[in-house]
Amino acid sequence: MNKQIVSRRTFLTGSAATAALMASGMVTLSSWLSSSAHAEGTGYETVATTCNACTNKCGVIAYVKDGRLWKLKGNEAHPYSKGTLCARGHGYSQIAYSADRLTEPLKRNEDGSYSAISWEEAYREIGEKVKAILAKDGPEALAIVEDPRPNGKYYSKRFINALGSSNYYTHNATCNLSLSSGYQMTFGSANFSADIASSKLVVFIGRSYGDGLRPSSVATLAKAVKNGTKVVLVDPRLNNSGVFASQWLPINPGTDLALLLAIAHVLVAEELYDKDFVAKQTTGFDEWAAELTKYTPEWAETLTGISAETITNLAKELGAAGSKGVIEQGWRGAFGCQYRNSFNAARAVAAVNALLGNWNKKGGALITSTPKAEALDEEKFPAVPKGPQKLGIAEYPLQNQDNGTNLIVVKKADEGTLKGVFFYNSNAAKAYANPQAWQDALAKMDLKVCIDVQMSETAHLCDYVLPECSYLEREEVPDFLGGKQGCVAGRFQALEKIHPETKTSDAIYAELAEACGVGAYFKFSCEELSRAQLKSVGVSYDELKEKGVVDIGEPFAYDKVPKWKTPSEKFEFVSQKIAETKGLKLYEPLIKWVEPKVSPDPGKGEFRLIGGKQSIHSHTMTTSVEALMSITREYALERAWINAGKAAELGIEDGDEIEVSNELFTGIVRAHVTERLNPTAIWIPTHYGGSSPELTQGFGVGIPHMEYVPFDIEPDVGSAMTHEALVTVRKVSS
Amino acid sequence: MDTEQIAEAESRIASVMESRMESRIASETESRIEEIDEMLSCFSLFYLRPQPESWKRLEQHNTWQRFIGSIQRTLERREAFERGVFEQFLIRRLSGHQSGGWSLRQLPAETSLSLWLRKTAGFSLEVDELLRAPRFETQLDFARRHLVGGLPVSVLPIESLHSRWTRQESASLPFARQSGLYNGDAAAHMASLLRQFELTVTTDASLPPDHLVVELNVLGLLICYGSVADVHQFIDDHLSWLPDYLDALPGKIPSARVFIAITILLNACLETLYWESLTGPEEMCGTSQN
Ligand code: SF4
Repeated sequence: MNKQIVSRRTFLTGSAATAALMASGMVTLSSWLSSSAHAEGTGYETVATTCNACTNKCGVIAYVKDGRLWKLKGNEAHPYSKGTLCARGHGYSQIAYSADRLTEPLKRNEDGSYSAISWEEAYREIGEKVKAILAKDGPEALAIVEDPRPNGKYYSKRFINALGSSNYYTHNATCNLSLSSGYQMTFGSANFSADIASSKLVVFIGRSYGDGLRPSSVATLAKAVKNGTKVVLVDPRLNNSGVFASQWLPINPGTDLALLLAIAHVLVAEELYDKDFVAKQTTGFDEWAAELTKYTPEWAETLTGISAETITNLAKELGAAGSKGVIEQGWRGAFGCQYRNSFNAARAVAAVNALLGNWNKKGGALITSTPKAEALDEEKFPAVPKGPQKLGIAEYPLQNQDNGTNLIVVKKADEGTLKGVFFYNSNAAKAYANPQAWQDALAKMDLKVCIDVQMSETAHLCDYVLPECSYLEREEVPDFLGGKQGCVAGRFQALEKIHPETKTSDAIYAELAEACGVGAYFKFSCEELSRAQLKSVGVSYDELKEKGVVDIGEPFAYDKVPKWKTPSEKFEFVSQKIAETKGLKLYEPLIKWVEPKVSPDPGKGEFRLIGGKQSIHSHTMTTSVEALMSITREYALERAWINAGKAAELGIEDGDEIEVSNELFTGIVRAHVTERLNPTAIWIPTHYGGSSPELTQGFGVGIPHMEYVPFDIEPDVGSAMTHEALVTVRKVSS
Repeated sequence: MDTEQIAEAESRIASVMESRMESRIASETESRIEEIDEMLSCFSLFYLRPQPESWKRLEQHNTWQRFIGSIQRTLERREAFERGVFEQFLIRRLSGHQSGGWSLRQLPAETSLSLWLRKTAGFSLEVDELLRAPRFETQLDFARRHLVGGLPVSVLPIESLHSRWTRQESASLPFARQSGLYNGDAAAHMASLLRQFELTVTTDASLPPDHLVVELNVLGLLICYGSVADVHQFIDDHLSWLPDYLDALPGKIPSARVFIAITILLNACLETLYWESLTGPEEMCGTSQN
């Protein structure tokens, strides 16, 4: 046969040898498979990188065989994985190969469907719309929302700042905004960490390491318990850390603040607090002590459902443990963003720890530092302009301002002042507040752009969807981590791009910036930026690439008085900043009892709807993963929990279909009838109820938590108050 | 026929098959091979974002007629199978009878592809829908909506999405044994074949190695240069996912009638080529048995 056919092909080009090679026979699939099997165990490439299945970004060693991801191991050197990855970490890696992956930029058609467009078209059209908004409404009319990862923290912020806007928001208003704001208002930092390994008594409030936090946290807790640490769980639900606990206090949801105030009451009344610490390191004690007199254990019993005796005993045990007793720091848990009193609950956690005098003591509450990159070469990395104040700060002045309250995007879009929004790695419209509120608000905006790897519910509401490559196919800027030993972790590219038309977020931002006329701020590559940042802290890029994690600085030293970053430079039982802030609607300088927004009326058959996570999922992101969803299905994990006594009253048996409804939403789900839940609550896992048909695995499984939660914002602070929702329940008759 | 006779017949047929395997499909006339090759190239155009140049060529009356004609001729061979010709051949072989040969009854000229589609696939199509190529704009709009990943209406024709990710035991990730993921064994084997044959994908859009278009064009080349056995094996190894793909189309894109029809036709043509490659073209035509 002549060579003509090969050369005239439109789709394939051969070499001069192609015809002869074809004539001499083909290696069949089965012989290829068996020769590949023979080579098994050899020829792996390993890449040190980080997981992306949750915020922890544990260190991972990716084993790559012939360009394909073959296995994953936890990086021993990473403080969060310490050699072990959780189920999500393994399962989520399939996102690289998932059929749900976006492969090209998409533009929304008038009928709501999507069509692929080229990057050039997408950039040009987005750029024109951004410029039009800037010209007409100014930079304040633009915002960006993300669930931060290393690249996002740098590039998303830089991009919106480059446009002249300060409106950078993270998911935190639906996570730990109340907590970090409350902590800032007492000890001046956004968080601390309980030194569990050396504690005598740890009280967890609504937080469960056993429900999938960090592999290393679970290991630390297990070891501590083995060594004699006593663990008390305060949670309406006996969560999966129950195996480590010697006591479960099934508190009425929304009343953790009352419990903490009563504990503080006992510590002060019985003089079990650290007088020396209080005298030297705090302000406002006397005023607060006077306030505490009314918060007796008997008073708290009526609110919390926990007996006064139990509360008193717990307080005394804490007092006896002294600086080796600690209230664990929480995160989202029970007071990250859930109630109209979460901010004060966080302050009360810090204040009880202060009464115990455990700050920076072995077994107590540690304020560790996080290393960060020094200032970089201004010419290469020019400073972005400082824009006007971030939207939301004026209305919610007590918030931790770094991350802002993303709910302001909904509010301002609804009011018509915010015109354009970018989402990066964020399913805000599904998970950050009531989805209908997001949908209505976004409909009023001129421009909505989503950067993601898959077609989330939020992507569905956007005009343009820009496909990022998966975390295994990209490098990101260094991830600086605090802790007893500060370090930096690196995400490096383990796989070649699977879909050639996808891009890394740094490239997308740089090109978008160019299209919007601010490309001058992005004239460097991600690698150049990483090298410069690492150099500024004395770490070599190549060493980080090889090891995945490199330590920075000296290890944490116990017993050093913390640097209180408060106005008084002391621990504040009475907040100076709150006292100085005008126009507050709810919170006062003193840490006082604040009623939750709603309370279930049992006479009307009402329950408080509360939610929480399961160890195999991260928010809604992992419900597209078949391996993880098959676990959900096998163990019917999507079920709604109901207290056994209440279920009996309603004629509901385990596994029955129940209708959970309120004025906003009605959904049907199977019941998990259990003694392990407070009778005033219905608990649902917050991962499910997916409504994006593109995400085939999660579509229609379970009920969507946020659909039941009315759109509202914690006064003065800005959180989503995700547990301020009431529902009624009935058995679905067959 | 007793067991011994059957065993003997089976061994005889095995050796006949073997000799056929060795004979190259290229022993058919060169024009027929080129026709198949061109037909596969034309089919390919439907599974890519269309380029104005190549689509213009397809739209030309002659090209389209040749394309449809070659499908029709291929299907006529299929008709022969469907009328039991192949079974007859096997029965004769197995029972030790020498073949008396057969001649194909030509399909009546008026048998249109539309009718065929209706008859075989229960797929009703207006008769004139295949008389000419779809318009460039229509095909472009289709490709932009459907030949893109991550949407419920996505119909990217990629083999890995329809086969198990890997059969290799050492892959320890939870998804390793799942189906419906990109870059499975299918892609890795196709990539190794492209390397083996020193072939490079040269479309504008960079295609994964297990994209239908790459597979159809490797098949075209194998028909030109490879052995009958390799053609057969290649269809077995890399194109047997097409029926699954086809089955999913009506549910996903019910109104894309021409695309579905084209895929039905492609599937039918590949089935025909598969059987042709098993028996060797000469049996199909009955020429060598006369
Ligand atoms: S905790 Fe699990 S999911 Fe989160 S980063 Fe670590 S391994 Fe990944």
